[in-house]
Amino acid sequence: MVRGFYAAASGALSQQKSINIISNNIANATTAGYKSQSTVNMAFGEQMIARLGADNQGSGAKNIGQGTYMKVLSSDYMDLTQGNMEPTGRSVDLAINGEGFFLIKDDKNAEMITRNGQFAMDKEGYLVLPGVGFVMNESKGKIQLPSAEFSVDAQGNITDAKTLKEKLYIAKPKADATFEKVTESVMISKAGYDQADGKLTAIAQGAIEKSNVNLAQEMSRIIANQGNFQSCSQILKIYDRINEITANQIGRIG
Amino acid sequence: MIRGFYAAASGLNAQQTNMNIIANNMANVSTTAFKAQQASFSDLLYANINNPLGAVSCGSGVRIGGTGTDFSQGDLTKTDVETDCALTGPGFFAIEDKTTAAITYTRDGSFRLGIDAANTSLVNSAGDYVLDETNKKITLTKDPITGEMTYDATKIGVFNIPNPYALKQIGGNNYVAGEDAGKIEKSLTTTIRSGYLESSSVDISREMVKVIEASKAFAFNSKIIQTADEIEKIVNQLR
Repeated sequence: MVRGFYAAASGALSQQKSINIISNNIANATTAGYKSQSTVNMAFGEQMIARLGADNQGSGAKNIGQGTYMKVLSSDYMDLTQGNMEPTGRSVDLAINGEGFFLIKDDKNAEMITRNGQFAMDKEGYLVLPGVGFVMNESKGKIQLPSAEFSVDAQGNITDAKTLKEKLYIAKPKADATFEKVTESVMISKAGYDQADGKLTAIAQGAIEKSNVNLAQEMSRIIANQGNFQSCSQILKIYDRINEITANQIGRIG
Repeated sequence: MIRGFYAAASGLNAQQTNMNIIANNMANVSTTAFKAQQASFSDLLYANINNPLGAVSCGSGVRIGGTGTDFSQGDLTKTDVETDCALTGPGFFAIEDKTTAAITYTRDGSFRLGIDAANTSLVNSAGDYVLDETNKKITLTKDPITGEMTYDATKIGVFNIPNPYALKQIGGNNYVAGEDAGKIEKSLTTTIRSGYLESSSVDISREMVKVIEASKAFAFNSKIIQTADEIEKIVNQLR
């Protein structure tokens, strides 16, 4: 088959995947702590193209340059810029301004991180991220509070009726470690986490961090992706026509 | 089908629910002691596809994880009705349902006198009994000299709920306390102001901002559905 046929198909496929990711960004445009994702396209191994049969003329193979068979979505990239703060007036809502994440441990002791500070208190008074797990304090223990009337300062110290109770653990992934989104606004890094020094972190109580999705950018990207998808499909149609001619017209007698 | 189509559809759904919550807040802008609710969104499962070149993580949309209530104090409005009570500070009145005897909690203090066969008791606007701090009905007695009912607002019980965010709104300005609410005890700090009512804590301008945000997000999501649809069309017209 014609090589370009597959190149166009792979182009159409990766555009479709990009569109899936953009859709997810837009669907989460109002999700607290959501970080926008974007994709990186790259060529799937560059291929040296040589003129075949050049040997027969005795002049040796002649390179005609580089080409690619396919374009693939190689990776995604998470935009970790700060989201806007929205006041909620609820003492259990916390937001991080600056670097770091809240550290959450689920009932199987798996650690994960989140920027979504819409916490709640369970029946024993533990501070939890609903549906995910317990919020961790500095010594990686659960945080138990007698009532929802507590205050949290910028350093993450939780004070209840003027007695210092707990300090929030502000995590950051280990240097150069990758982390991926799972669900419920939490992310996981396989390499584990370090405690952030807190110099670049300020905790805000009674507020949530809005998602950092830039709707204008997402819409322009989706238009570009759609255009590109359409071009790829046009190319596919052209190749299809070429194949049709090859199959039906070349060598026809009479 | 293209996954983004469903992600956008989940976005439409979530924004619609968000709009319902905002509309309910707006509708209750003059409800006594109403506390505004807000939606909390959370993203859905991610498919983390590992390929040799790196991971591509693609999400599948959004859902409303729950609603949260903002229990901040509403303004007090003077009514000059002696049996109207407002709470200054955190805390709730306890109400016993007149038929089922179930106890619910409220901050709406628009009480009045209710006369049944035996006693005159303090009831709320629905006719359910207001309870004192020992969870008993408050009965009023006639003063033998003046012939007037003796009413003492300090008798009304004020309860402190450790985790008010676990309360569930059930309508009629009432909340039900589940297990998560913690141990409910008499409040030591909150006082009752007689002759006042607490007004709704809904902030119209904030709600309007949320309406704009929700409707724009809805529009963007529907645009994505259209795009996904067009892409499907292109695919179908390939041959």
